[in-house]
Amino acid sequence: MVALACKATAPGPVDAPLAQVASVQLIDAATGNNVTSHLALYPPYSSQVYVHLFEAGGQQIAALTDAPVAFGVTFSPSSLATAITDSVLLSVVVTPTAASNTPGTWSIHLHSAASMTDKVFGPFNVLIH
Amino acid sequence: MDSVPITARTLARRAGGTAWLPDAAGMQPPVETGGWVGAVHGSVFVQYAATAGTRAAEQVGSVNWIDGTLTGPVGPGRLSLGLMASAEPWTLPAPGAPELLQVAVPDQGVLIADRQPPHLALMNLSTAYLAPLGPNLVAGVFLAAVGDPALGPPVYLHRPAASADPTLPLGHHTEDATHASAGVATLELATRRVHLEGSVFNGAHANPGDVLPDYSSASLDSWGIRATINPAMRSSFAAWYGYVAAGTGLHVHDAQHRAGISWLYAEPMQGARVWAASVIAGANIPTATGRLLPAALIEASCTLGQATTLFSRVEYVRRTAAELALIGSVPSELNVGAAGVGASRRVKRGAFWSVWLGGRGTIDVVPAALEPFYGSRRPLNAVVYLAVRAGNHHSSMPVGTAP
Repeated sequence: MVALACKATAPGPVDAPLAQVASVQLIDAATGNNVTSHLALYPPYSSQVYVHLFEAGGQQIAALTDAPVAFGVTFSPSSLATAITDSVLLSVVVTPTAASNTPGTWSIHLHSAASMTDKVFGPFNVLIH
Repeated sequence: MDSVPITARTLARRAGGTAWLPDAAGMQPPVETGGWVGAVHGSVFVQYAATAGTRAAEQVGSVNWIDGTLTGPVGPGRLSLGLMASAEPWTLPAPGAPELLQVAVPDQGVLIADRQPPHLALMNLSTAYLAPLGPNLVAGVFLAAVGDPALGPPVYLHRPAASADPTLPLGHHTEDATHASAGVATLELATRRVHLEGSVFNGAHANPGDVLPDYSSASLDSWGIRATINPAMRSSFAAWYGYVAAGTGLHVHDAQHRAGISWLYAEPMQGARVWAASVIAGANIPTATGRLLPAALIEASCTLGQATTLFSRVEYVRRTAAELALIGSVPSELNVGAAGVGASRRVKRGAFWSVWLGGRGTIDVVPAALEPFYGSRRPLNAVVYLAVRAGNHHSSMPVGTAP
């Protein structure tokens, strides 16, 4: 039986232009936890988050063929937190600036000047603990 | 008047945990005398599963389980020991068999949707004791290291109408996902027609790659209550309500309440044409949003001449973007559906086993927001299988079918 079992078709990483990015997943750099559904922030500490990109079919995108991309984030309310982004690694260091128990959301903005493509993903939930 | 003692009658209706099946489809023989009785049944589906479209995938693997119970007289009542195991951790490679619209599970650091994940190697390890309080009243306690609490319908693995169908219902996480909870305590009270239960259980789910339950942070943090009525031999009605604590690991979810109702129908084994059906409706209500996330299922099977089974399942589920690993890309909630039909033909039989060749095709229905991700508003799934089914009781075969 074990010999019969084959691995499900693997959604292996591919290279693709920004236009083919259909979804993202947000991964906590320290813990590896998937924080797409909920990012918990603990003042005064900062959290580093990696943005993983996916095609519509679910394949993870390893590299953007129309890089470099401008990578930005926005918070709602804007006083929720501040962010320092790394457009090469697609990572962001988020520092909470609102009071504890403040809920909010954040969004991811990507822009490729080479292909004149814009993508926005979100809102993603945030809670200041 | 039913001549079977009420303790044995109550046990004979069990579907894994304490949920009741119709009398015509019970998993244990209802004994009229006081001896020890064992019942074993199991199924091994060696299957090729595939999905089409943007999310095309395929896998050869095996969905399988074996379930055994031993019951006998102890003191004034009856003791039951239960064990259910599966080899899926080794035969259904992670993240699982392709099945579109299934809830996302973690795989190599990211969430992967559209897979039927493998079960743990141990799905039931339990004991129950039932003591008669009179000729028509019994009280019991059910304790499980792994088991099914009083929340939801009988798990799909044991439903008569689903016995020829190896695929996981889309509504599993709204209906019977707690069937292998790692820690359950249930108190029950039953007459010959009515069953009332209350459970506390561990709401945590397995972690990716786990073979056995993880008790490292186990607590009885969830609860459920259920009422069941078996008004006649062929029918069972149930209603339930409960609370499931926030889950981590394989099936991440917020804390939620869960409610539902079900009707199961099964005809006895005799007859050239034997029907079984399930109608289930329920909902999760996440405590964070208070919004209803409903699901509904109708499944039916018809066994002809004890050698051919036709089966179908139609479902509606309100999925969240989180369940599809598409937060931030699609609306937070989406209505999806599926309609599947299949057939299974017995190709060989023995005294306590039989071999079946079968298949199932499914058309899913997704909203426009999901069309870019699935390549169509009507994406397709298919599975073909060779199944070995064995046991000394009829729940190991399609209802109405001798091995």
